[in-house]
Amino acid sequence: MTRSPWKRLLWLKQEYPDNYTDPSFIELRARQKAESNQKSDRKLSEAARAQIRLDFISFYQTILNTSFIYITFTYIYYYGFDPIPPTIFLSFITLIISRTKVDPLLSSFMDVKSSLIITFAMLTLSPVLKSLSKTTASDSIWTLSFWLTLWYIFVISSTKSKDKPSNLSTNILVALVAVLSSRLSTTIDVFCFLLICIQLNIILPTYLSVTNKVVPIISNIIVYSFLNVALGWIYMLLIFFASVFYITVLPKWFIYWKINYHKRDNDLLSTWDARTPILD
Amino acid sequence: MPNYIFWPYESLFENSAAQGPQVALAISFEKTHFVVLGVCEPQYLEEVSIRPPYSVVATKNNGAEGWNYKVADPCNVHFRIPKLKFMQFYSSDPISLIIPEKEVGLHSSVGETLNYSKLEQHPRYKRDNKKLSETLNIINLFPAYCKALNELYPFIQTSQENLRGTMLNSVAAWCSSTCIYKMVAKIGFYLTFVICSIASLVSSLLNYSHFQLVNYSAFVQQIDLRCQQICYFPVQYERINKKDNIQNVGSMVEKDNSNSQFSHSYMPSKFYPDYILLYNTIWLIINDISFGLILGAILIENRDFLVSASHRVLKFFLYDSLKTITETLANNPLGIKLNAELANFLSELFLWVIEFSYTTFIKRLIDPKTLSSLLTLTIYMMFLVGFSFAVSLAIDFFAILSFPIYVFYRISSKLYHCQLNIMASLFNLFCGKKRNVLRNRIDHNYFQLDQLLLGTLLFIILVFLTPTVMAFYMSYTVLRMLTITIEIFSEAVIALINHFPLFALLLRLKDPKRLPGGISIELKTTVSNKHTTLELQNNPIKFKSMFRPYNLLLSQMRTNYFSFATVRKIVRGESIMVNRNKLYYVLYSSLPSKPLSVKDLYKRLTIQA
Repeated sequence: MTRSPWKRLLWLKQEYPDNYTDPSFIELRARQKAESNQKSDRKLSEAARAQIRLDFISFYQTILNTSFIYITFTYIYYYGFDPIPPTIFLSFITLIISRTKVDPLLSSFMDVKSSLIITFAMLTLSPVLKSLSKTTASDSIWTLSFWLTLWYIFVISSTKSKDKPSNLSTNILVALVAVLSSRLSTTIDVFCFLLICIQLNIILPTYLSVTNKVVPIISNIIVYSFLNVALGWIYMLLIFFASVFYITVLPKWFIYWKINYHKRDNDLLSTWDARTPILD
Repeated sequence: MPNYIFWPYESLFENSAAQGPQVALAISFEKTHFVVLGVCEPQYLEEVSIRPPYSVVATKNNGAEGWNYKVADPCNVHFRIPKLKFMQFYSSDPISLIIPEKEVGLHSSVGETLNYSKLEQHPRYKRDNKKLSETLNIINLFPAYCKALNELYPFIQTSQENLRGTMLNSVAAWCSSTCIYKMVAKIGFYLTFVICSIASLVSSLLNYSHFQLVNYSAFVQQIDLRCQQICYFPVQYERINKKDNIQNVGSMVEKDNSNSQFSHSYMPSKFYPDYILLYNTIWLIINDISFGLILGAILIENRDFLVSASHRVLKFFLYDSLKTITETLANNPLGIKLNAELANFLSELFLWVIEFSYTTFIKRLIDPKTLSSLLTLTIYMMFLVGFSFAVSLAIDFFAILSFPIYVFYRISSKLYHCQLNIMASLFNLFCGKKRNVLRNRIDHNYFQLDQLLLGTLLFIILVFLTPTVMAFYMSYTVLRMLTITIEIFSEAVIALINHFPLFALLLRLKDPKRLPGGISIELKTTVSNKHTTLELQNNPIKFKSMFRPYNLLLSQMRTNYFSFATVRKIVRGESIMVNRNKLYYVLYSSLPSKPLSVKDLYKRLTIQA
């Protein structure tokens, strides 16, 4: 009599006793024991090192992208510039890029219908958003937006798939923008602010991969020149050196720590147990 | 198991030692213990033989102190003869002041009866209990059994309660044979019938199944209650006047009927609850009217003051304060910064409703002139039909006046409830999840960008508007709860007037034996006897069980209005509505759930006549 192979699902009724131990589990255990014995000459492969460096850089990129929200906000709210020209310019760029890169996955993501819906919804709701938290004190709004930003960076940097932005991060971003938009004075400002933020943080990052060289340089230039204008060159240089330190030194330090000090106590659990619940 | 012999406390059995040898005669059926009925001298028994169910249980020699028992392992139980005339009786179960068909619903809520019912299921307990209750039935009809025995064997000394007619009875019997009496009885019968059928018709009209008026108005409910009581009076009266059956006991014993179950249905004690309930109701109605007379007189004296005061109070509560609250809500109440646009909109909407309702009907209703004429009407009603009607009319008047508050409460609760629902589902969208209806769980889902944007924008808007809606909702809920509390307290007053167990309470004080709440059997130590002697005693019914319907009503009110569940309902924005009729249904414990139909009533009355 042949039994169907054992599956690692608790909710399934299987023809195995309760204390059944699968051979694959024992194999895994043996392999990990052998690995922990030869701890001294443990090494990371070149691919793993490159991946670590890439992760650090992409996190830096995320922070740069997020800071564009505040740059746009300051541009409209503090300096009181007209938001219409940059909006038109950015929309034009977005259109061109989306036309040149015809991706079956992305074409469903951004088609004419949804862009129309988004535009009209934002047009309709921007007066409501403008007056939504008018009575709330500015301090509360700054605090709220600070925590939302932290949450946004945490969520977007901890999601795995890079091809599609996660739903939650998009939502937090929209919430953040909606909270900030109540400080703006006119409806057009609100609408432009919403549109710029969504294009910069949601639509454009999906078209432009991290390995692209041109876009990071442009965004770096924009951010640091903005910092120079807003905070002065001393702060700009401080932040610049801090980020250079972050990109060059910290990954090496991390690799050193991973080779020499990283304990593998939880390896069994983290490899054997499923990361996300398997329901079907 | 010992043989229990039940002895009455009688001089007959105690002091007759000097008179010579004696024999004690007892009655016992198959399923009962011995109950001693009488004594006689032994020489009589030489001529006649004693047939079952009677038997000789004990003899006493000349000058001896105690009895010599004829049965093995005897055990004496002494009891006092219950006086039939005063409606005293023994019962192993507490007397029920609730008519049997209503008992079922009331019992189920008591948790501690579970163990008791388990004990009741035990076969030995069942057998003993049955035997005891059958014996109690004999004891309850003790005089009748004595009389039957005396008729059979005239030489036996028994304790005789004077059951035969007195002078008054014979006069009454003569009266009832005259033709004037017959005519009066006939007229009375038809009058009763007409009144009852009108009451029944009114009650059924008010309870019309498609539009139950009783659910909406306290006054209508009060009318309905009175009609139902009137319909039930003849039935109760007929039941409690079935007394003639006591005489039948003798013939039953004659037939050597070992099946004493038969006699149980004729137990007069079965109809005592009806007696208590009927007179309780009548007394309460008279009380109601006398309260009405007293209070009406007081009210007439202070009429002008009352009118002006109530006008001021009502105007303040229903117009001025309501307006102030609504206006405050629009202008950052308590320093809380609400959304200005929505708060202004809502407050203007409610202000418009306040103004509209005030000018259309409230202003006219609380006008001193209207109030004065209304008060006059109420006072006359008090004089005629009772205080409770006046209070219920006042409740209805207040309910009409507080209708705008009810409307505000409903509007704001609907708004709040909808908002909460939408926010709950949009929160799922915010987290990138979606409710799976097929599997009844929440799954991950990849939404389109437009869906996400729209949903999140709406969610953010709703989140920021929640404090505003909640402020309106909470303040109107507090107002609504206030009006509900006022209504509940006045309805509690009516409930007390309508259903207070006054007759039973006074009966309990006057003669506890008429309201037995079970029996207790105690060991008697004073008598120096070689056999165990027990004493059968009557435990009067507990006060707590008399007020059980009230307890139930209180707990129901607590769960309906003042419980954690209510707070949860309020927080969720669900409406707190209670069917008034259902709530006070508990108190209708002395009325059948359906009033007697006219046809049945006629049948019953003609049989009685």
